[in-house]
Amino acid sequence: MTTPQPPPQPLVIAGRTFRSRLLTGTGKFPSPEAMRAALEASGTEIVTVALRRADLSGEHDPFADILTHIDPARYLLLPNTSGAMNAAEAVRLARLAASAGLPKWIKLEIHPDPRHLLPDPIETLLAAEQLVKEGFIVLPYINADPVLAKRLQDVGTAAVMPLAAPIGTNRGLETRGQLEIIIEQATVPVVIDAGLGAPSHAAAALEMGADAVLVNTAIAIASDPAAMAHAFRLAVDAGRIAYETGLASAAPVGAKASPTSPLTGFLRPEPALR
Amino acid sequence: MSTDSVTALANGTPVTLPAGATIGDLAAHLGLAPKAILVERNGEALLRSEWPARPLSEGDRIEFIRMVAGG
Amino acid sequence: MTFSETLHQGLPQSAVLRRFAELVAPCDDAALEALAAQAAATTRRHFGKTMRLFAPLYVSNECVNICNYCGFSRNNPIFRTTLTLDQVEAEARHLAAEGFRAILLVAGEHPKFVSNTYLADCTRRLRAFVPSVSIEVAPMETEEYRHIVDAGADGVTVFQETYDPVAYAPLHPSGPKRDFAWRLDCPERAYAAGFRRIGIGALLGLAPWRTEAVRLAAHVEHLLKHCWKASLAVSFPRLRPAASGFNPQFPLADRDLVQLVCALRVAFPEIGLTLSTREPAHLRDGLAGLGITMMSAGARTEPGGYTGAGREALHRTERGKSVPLAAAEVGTAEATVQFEIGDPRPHSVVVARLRQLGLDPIWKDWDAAINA
Repeated sequence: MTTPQPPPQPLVIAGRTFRSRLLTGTGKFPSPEAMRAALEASGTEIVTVALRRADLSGEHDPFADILTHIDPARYLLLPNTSGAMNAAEAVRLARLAASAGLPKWIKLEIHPDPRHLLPDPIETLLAAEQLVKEGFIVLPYINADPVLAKRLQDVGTAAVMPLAAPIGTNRGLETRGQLEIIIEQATVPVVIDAGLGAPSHAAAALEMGADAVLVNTAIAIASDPAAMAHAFRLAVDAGRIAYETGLASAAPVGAKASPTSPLTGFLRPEPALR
Repeated sequence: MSTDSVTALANGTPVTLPAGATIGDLAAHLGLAPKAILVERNGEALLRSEWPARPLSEGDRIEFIRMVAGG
Repeated sequence: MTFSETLHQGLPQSAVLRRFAELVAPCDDAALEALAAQAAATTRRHFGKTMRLFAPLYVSNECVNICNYCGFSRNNPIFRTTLTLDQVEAEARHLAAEGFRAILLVAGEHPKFVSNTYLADCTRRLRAFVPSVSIEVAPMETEEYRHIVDAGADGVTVFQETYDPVAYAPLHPSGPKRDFAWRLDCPERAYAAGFRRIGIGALLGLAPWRTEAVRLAAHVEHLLKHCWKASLAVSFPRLRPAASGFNPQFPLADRDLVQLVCALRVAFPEIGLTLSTREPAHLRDGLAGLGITMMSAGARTEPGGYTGAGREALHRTERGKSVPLAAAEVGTAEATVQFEIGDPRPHSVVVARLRQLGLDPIWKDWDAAINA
């Protein structure tokens, strides 16, 4: 019987506490049922949704109204501003999302390039500043740019969401070097979002000190989304526990190289000098 | 433009309703369940409690938005 | 949340602090040598083979605080003086002629003799020919610091003396310096005023060095997060014999100082590490290659130390009042030093030695003119 381990530390964003460090998206699922099962299996508490013009053609789009499939009492809905091409459109979408009467949380994402879906830093900073002034809890999706991350924290975002790799590429922590700097300098939670293609990527993200990860594509397009969601849940918990326990620092490469004359010889002046 | 009707744009398409019609009437006319949509009138988002009873004005640009699946 | 609040709640268990605690744990000579090799390589990568030079310029040794370890302590009947603006400029011109382009204005804490307007005036005078002026004086509020930043100062140094509040209290029995938390949050207030360089450190010897080091490292980590646009430097003032004959309760051995410098370098590769002339020549030369990136040279630690300026105004200060010297003392008395110099080599000898060690002495690092 394994001894009961202390539960890992909770995730706190804008003063609100979450047990799970896995945020999930709701796009690209084969069906609403598959999505609901995957959310259940993931243990997530924060779920992103998008805003789109209602279809007036009368055909019934199953995903048309996400609120029928996701209980806002059980999950914190995090509307995103995907579709916005600039700060003004993002602010407009955020206000629309807030009109639903849900908590004013917003995943600020502005990607004018529909092919790679890479975030526009300038419009994102402008929108963040405006939305914070309007009382929104802003979680900005950004490229892994440490200075932008600090500029966003300076204007009052509740977190920063740097990408591991472009959305949908599933290529894992390609921006590791910059992510490490962002985490080191962060005074708000760091949620690594986009590009995490396998549970091992998520575990590595938590091991390096990220506060949480957001996964959508890798779960939604799996042959069995609920099973993959469960795998990501285990990986995120494993990564966080490993981080809290403290990974032994890898032995520095070539640490054994001993210089010709000892560097600390000056601590032991030769007897002749005494 | 007769005074016994009002024409507004719904997601960009003109819709004509009897005078005094409200945004709620417009939504119903389009078969949209109020609980499931968000409304923006002339670029300004309206709280869920605000829009159902609000009367339409001639030429109003109404946007009906849904929360949908997204990453 | 300021660092004093963070410290009060207990040190955060971050990965870098856990690693740092390992680096300062007791170790044998072989392990110290390996740590030194890693520190040297890390320093090369980030700073190349350079050594920045600066000179302290003491403008006053008046002080309203009683600190048991300091020569300037109010209850020491030492010879005190405060330089006039002209005298400060004369001292600075002397240093500039020697090549210094970075000057640290140092003073005891005295609201009347060393006000922030006086310091701003000193800064304005020096900025005409000194590109980098920084201050090591009493802690202030942000608005007061702003005057000095607007006058052209770019750096501020505040030593917490000891990060252990229990040890701190009895060492500071009287004066504004009794407020541990207000002093500890001073770097963040200075950052808010616009200082580009921040210097911190502990006066080594007041508390067990390993616990002191971990709290110092936590302060570094906190400032790197919250004052991210400033460049941070840590100094290693080690207690020397002072006029008040204070003997440190936890004296730091040379070997421990070396481990501390190397551990900070490995844990925080990009921060500046400063070593003053408190330390003897052989130690400074040895540490120059292992992590230190900034040094003073040919320093004097009393007002007027370089040109004799201010001697005409020497007096004692008793209970806040200025007491003239006895007749016999006039003419021979000199302003009392803050501490004895460990490395009395003139700056030219230090520069030659640095070149021998394969290091390039840097007089001028940066000039605000490019931002003006």
